[in-house]
Amino acid sequence: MLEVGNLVKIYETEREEPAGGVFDIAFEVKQGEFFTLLGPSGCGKTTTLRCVAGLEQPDRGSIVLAGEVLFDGATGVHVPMYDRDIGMVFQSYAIWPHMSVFENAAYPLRVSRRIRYGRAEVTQRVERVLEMMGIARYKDRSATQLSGGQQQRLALARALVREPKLLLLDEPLSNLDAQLREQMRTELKRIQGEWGVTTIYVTHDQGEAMSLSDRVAVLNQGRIVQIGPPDEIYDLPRSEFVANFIGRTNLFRGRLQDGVPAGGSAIVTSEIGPMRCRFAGMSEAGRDITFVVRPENVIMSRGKADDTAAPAGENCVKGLVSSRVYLGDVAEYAIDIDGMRKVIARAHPAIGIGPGERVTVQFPAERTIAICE
Amino acid sequence: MATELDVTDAAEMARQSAVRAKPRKLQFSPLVLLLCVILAILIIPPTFFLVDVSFHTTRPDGSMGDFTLGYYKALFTGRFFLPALINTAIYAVGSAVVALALGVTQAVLVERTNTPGRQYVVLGSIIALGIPNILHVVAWLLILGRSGPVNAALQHAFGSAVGINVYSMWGMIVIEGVNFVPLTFLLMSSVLRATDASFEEASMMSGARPLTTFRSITLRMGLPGILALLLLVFIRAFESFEVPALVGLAGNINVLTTNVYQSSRGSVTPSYGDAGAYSICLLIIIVALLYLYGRLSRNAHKFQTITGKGYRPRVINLGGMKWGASVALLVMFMLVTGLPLLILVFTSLQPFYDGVTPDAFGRFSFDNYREVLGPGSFRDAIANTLILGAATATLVVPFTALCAWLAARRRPGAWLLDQLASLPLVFPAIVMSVAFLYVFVNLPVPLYGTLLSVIIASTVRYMPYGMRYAYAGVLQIHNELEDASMSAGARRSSTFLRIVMPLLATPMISSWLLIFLLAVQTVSLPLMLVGPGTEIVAVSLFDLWQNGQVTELASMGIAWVCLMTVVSTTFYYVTRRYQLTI
Repeated sequence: MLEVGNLVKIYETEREEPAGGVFDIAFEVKQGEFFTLLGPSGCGKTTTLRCVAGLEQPDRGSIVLAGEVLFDGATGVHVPMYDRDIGMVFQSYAIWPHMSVFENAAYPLRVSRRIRYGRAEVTQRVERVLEMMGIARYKDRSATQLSGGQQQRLALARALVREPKLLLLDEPLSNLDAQLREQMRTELKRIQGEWGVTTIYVTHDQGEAMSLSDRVAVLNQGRIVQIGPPDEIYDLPRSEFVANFIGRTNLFRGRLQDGVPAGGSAIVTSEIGPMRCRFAGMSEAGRDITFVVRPENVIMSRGKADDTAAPAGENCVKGLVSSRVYLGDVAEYAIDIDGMRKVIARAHPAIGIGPGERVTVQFPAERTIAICE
Repeated sequence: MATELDVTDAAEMARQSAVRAKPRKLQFSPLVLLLCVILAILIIPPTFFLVDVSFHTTRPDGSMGDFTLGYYKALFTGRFFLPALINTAIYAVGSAVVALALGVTQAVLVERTNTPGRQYVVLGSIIALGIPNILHVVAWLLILGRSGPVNAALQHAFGSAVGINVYSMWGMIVIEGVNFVPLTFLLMSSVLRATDASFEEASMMSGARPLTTFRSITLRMGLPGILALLLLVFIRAFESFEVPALVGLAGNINVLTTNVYQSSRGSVTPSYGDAGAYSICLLIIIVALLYLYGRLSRNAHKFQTITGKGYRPRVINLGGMKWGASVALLVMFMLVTGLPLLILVFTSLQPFYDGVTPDAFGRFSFDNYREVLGPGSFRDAIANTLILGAATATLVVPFTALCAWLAARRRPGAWLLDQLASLPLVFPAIVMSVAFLYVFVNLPVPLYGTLLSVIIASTVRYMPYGMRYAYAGVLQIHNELEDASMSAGARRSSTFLRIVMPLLATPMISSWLLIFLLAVQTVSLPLMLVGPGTEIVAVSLFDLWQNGQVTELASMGIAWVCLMTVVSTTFYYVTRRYQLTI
């Protein structure tokens, strides 16, 4: 449905020095897909979204929606934002205070030039979309009388009333409190599924990205560093940045002994001992390797008090629990290895291991991932 | 140049704080009580005397006689009040419409389009602040008057029967309207700048073209603000004096303010009773209008939400038309500042004014400047005026800073401070002048005719302006900054001196400069209060016009403008540098 190629937009300060932007952004979104742009502040995700919307004009690249060229730096084509078949929800919702709820939602139909909507059709469409969002009973109220969550639904209704080819959402949940946010998240997923509209979602919250998306693109400093389904991003990070940005992780460095093919596993001699890691891509012997293992995958077991022998089993090390943090649904342990390195492990709180105890820590080989850029 | 501030917020804040902070029992902190007493001493006597004098006959020695309703009866049954009221209304509406049409256009071009040269308009408007209103009026009378270049050109083209008479209602409307353009421009600009970009972006993402967006969203949301501004200019015109005095009276058009002036000058003896009655009527009308304005501007603020995203409103690309817009901006600059200055410079170099003729260019000389800048009363006038401006600003700014801080932090009884300090707003300058005149004449202390009396009146008049600036400045200082100071052990007084005052420094400097500029150019306030030895520039210019000494007036005016331009450009750079809104 949407193809973005080689998008470049550079912002300059007054003295014409580069001050951020996006460099060489490229991705595709399939029909009906929920695609998320995820990254920290300033990574370029909102810039990318605004370029697709037409609110910013890129310096180079191309944007094609359903076969229609919206922007092409080479030929100079730039379709203005009001001629693109795209609906957008803004972070502040941008609900017009001088209009009623009905009029806010009806606005896109009233100003439409390509298709003329008759009065009856406008009423029918607007009522249908307001009904879907659960705010139909407020339709004659002034828009300023809605709560935050209701305004957000109205913004969504307004974006969808024209049944656009593409829906853009710019951090729509960031203004809501935690409870409402979770509620709206589920709502959004349901609505998007029912409408089947191709969606691009921008957020810095990984929880939202993981739970809502079909695919996620992680951005950092203006570039896409990894694209894939949520579980791939989480389980198989392809860079330190992604590994650290998404969830918590344990990160170690070492050197690869022998060469390994793509999809294979091999021993990496590391700061905490020899560890067998899984390799997504091929690597040659002697290479410096960084590998990660998620805290929830670390297996912890009590060591015997007088046990001084080396631990049996692959990817095992001995350690001393230095702290335990109770988080309600899980307990997080910090374990000292050789008094230097700390390993973070997560376990069910019922496991009664406390600080000061000797434990054996094991990283299951298939969950110890070597980072292959 | 009647570029006086947006006085709305002070009145509105006064109202709101009164509604919010109605105490259950009357409590006053000692400091608040002291300040209230000071304010009351300054403000109550003139008000009281004004009311009193309108209800009592005046004996020949100036003291008050018996109670009478005669003045009010004469006012309402006489032939003068109703026409004056109608004239005032027409004049006010007309100038408001002219000022708004030009000012809003200018603001839109500067803030929302890519017109070349638009970055200089703000500077131009602020420089215009340095030109006294009266000079402006005189300049336009020179241009449009009987012997002026416009009439000469018309007669040349169409014969001697054709001509325009500027001493008419339309003359008053045009001159006053153009006078107000910098004010409407500056106020409209800050409204436009505060608009949230996402409202318009949402409209365009919904498929509306830029023009539709402008009409349906930008203008519609800005409408309450525009209406409020219209009403503000209407009020300002209602109470203005210079234009009606110089233009209207010569054309036999009376408005309420000139009626006050004339009855207090009187043909034989001043009739304070009449002046008092007119003043009270004017006051009541102004109070009603200000109340209306407060309601309107509250609605206007409801529509302005500023999110933290920081996207500036979209600039409309005019394409080829931007050069036409540039010309329009230039024309407006010429109307407001350029042409008046040119004609004044021209006149100042003449021995006498005879229109703009080729001969005139041969008569250029600096004699006028030599005379005016040499030893004489003008130098004294400059000195007095500088003292007046500096004293007023220096008294008003710190005093209102303290009052505003007490009011903003809701100290017990501070709501009364707010009300008292905003009260002078309802007095037109000429009415305040008459009121203070009466007070000073009847005081046992010999204050009448001294510069100090003018300073006192001026301080009272500009108190609300200082309050408005100070209040806005204090609101920007987060409560927690002061809480942190007090939890570290400092008392309130130390907190005020060590934390609040330094943080208020920049708004206070800006406020000082603006109040200085406004205080030195008003004519009607000092008009009744000055005498020999206390000449000030604005009143001297007024007198020179009455005596027909146009060329001296022009040279004096230009010399003064040069001096004031230094102050006004300083004001511009301070506001630019620290990004204060005006």
